[in-house]
Amino acid sequence: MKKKRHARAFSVFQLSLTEMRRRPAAFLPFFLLCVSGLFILYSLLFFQYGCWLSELRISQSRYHVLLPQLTDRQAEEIGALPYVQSAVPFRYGDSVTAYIKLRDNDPEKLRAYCVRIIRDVGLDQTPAYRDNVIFQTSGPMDNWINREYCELAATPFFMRSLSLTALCMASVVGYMLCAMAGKVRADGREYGTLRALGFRRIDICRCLAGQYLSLYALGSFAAIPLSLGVYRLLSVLLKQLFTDNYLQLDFAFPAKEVLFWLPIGALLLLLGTAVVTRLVKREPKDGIAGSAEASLSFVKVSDRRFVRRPSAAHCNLLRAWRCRTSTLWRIVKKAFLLLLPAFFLILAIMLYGMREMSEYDRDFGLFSLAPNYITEEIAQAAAALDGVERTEKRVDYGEGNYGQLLIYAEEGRQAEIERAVEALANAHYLQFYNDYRNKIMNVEQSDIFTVYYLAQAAVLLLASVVTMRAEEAYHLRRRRPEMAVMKSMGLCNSCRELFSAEILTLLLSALLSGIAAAAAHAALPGASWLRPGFLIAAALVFLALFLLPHAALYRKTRRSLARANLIEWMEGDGI
Amino acid sequence: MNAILRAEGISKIYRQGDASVCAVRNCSLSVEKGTFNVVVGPSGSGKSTLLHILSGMDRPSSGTVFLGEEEIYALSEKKLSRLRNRDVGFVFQKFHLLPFLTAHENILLPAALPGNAVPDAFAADVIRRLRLGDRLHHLPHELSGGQQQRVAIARALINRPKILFADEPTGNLDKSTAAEVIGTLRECARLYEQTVFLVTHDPDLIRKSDLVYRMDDGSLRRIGVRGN
Repeated sequence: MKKKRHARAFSVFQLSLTEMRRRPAAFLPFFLLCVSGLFILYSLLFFQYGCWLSELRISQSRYHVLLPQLTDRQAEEIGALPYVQSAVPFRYGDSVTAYIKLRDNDPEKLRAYCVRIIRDVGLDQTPAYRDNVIFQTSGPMDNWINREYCELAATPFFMRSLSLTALCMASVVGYMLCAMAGKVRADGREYGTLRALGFRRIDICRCLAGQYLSLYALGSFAAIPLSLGVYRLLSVLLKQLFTDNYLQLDFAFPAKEVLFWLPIGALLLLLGTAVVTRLVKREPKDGIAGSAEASLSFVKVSDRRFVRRPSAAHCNLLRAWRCRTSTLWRIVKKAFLLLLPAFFLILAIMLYGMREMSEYDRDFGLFSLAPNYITEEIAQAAAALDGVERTEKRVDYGEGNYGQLLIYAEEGRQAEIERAVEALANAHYLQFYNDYRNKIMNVEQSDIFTVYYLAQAAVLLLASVVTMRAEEAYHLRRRRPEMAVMKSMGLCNSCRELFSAEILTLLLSALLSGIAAAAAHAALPGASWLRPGFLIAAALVFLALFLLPHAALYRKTRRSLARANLIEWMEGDGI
Repeated sequence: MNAILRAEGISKIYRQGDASVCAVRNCSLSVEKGTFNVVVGPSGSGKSTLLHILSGMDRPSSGTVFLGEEEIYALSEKKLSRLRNRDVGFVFQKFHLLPFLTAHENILLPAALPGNAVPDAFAADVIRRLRLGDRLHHLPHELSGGQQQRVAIARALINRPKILFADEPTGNLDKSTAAEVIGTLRECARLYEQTVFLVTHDPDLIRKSDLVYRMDDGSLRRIGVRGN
């Protein structure tokens, strides 16, 4: 039997792709934002990962693991293990502490190696280590590992980068959902038509998900290599700027984090699509009748104020009020766009402020190593050393015992007295930190971050402005019939009249995003270093950069309107 | 003949604040299979609302509508959508074509849903009868009003629905184009054995229909049958 040929032109997915292809202006802002938002997210991830690895590398140059309460024989056995590069024994009283360096540099495997050493040497048979093994699994094993290294290695990179990347992802997805909601409302008539033709809301959801997930996938495809490239470029530039080895950023790909955030974004988007689809009217008739296709459809017949005092500005504001839900969506959408650049700008300013008021303002540190405290005698001995300018006692345990002693050296004499301070620490079994080098590193580190976050803020602002401009251009194109009607009534003589509501929404969005960014920042440590003058100046520059392209767009639209064939504008272009 | 569509005591009340407007008042009707039915009446009398209710587009405030043996508003959302897709065709006064799809894609849009395959020969036949062969790859804004309405009719016919509804299909067209569209609509209905229920102001159409209803202030009454 001859098989019948069927003329099924396309599937729901193809329908969604067709709309994207034929209506690029509607999707361009979304795509731009997707690329820029994901670019920032991933470049931030790469930068943080690079810094993390670099810091680990520096810390690793000393030792990896510190195991106390050993016998001489156990320390020797540890040194002979094939995966141990060196185990330097230090005798404290009756026992030996081994400073162990591993052959494997992978920080992720540190804890596994700790357990392996303990097992291989049979330390888990001794009561103290049995306790410590239990201790380790619950976390405070860190006491026995180099503190700096531990702070980095014990905190997984994912956790370290979580807050900023989560904020970026929330911002990107938030914008996407606002854009989607705006589209569902604006194209209500088309969705009503689809409902009338038998499409269920789930079909429309599939259609929207197909569109926005495709754009998300394309955006990710563009953003990841772009972020890698920019990060690489930045690391090379920074290396030239700051010659210290410490600032040599490692180039590595945090695959686990990338693989985590990619589907998380898609999943959030998918869930959001399901929620946004609820905006599609249940009854097809409501969808078809509900859209404001007719020009000036927001003006009530009985609106006497409008009739008595006709002005485009009044009409424009009236439109914003009558279509307040879509106006609100637009404000929130823009606020999402501005949130990230505002946040990064505040972060850069904050980091610059912290540079001068660094808490690393000291040369040497002595720290008590239980059960040894820093006593008054030790503090006095340190203060009496030749070249010590002053000392500062911290963490008072009472009875003349302290947890920390900060030692400030006279200008240029740090290297000279370093050995004497170290000897003092060793003599009293205290932990010794040589911090004057760290101080220099941290100032430079703060510079890198300031430059980096400023660059991020600039890129984001640029991307946001381009995105918003594209979106505003599309919005104005959709408003053409309405503008043509107003023009035919002799209104629309100035930009102020035409776009008063648009300017108001832009300012409201900027204000909203500024408040949100400042609130997000208030939760971060060091927020108190924000300098008001600097902040106000930055906000003004920010606002000017943001408003100028829009002003140019409004001017261009007004000029086009002045020359336009009003009938053509009233009919629209079908898209 | 069998009744393909039956409505019993349907009413529709719109509420706006404290005020309420009764658009359709306790209307009952029965439409026989294969007939050409027309509703006339002044603007704002509730004709379009009645049509929306009968076609499953808008729920009535009270009353029931049966399409065949099925009470359509007792169906689940999924089944109601399926009914709109397969058993009902609707032609709008303002065409409501999707502006980003070509005429051909608009025609085949109802077939985009899974499980709907339109035989090639049938699609070609509909396109030929509606004389759209040379305009298939144009976007709606590149077509004239008459052509857009013919695309809308083809779209309504493509899934071979049991009943075709049309809400003032000639309302946006000039007289000759309107006559052409109505002629096409009648021809297709006859060829594909479809029941037609439409709202119109066209006196020619009223004369050629099997059954005429008049709608006044939400109330429906039958005012004539063919040859009478």
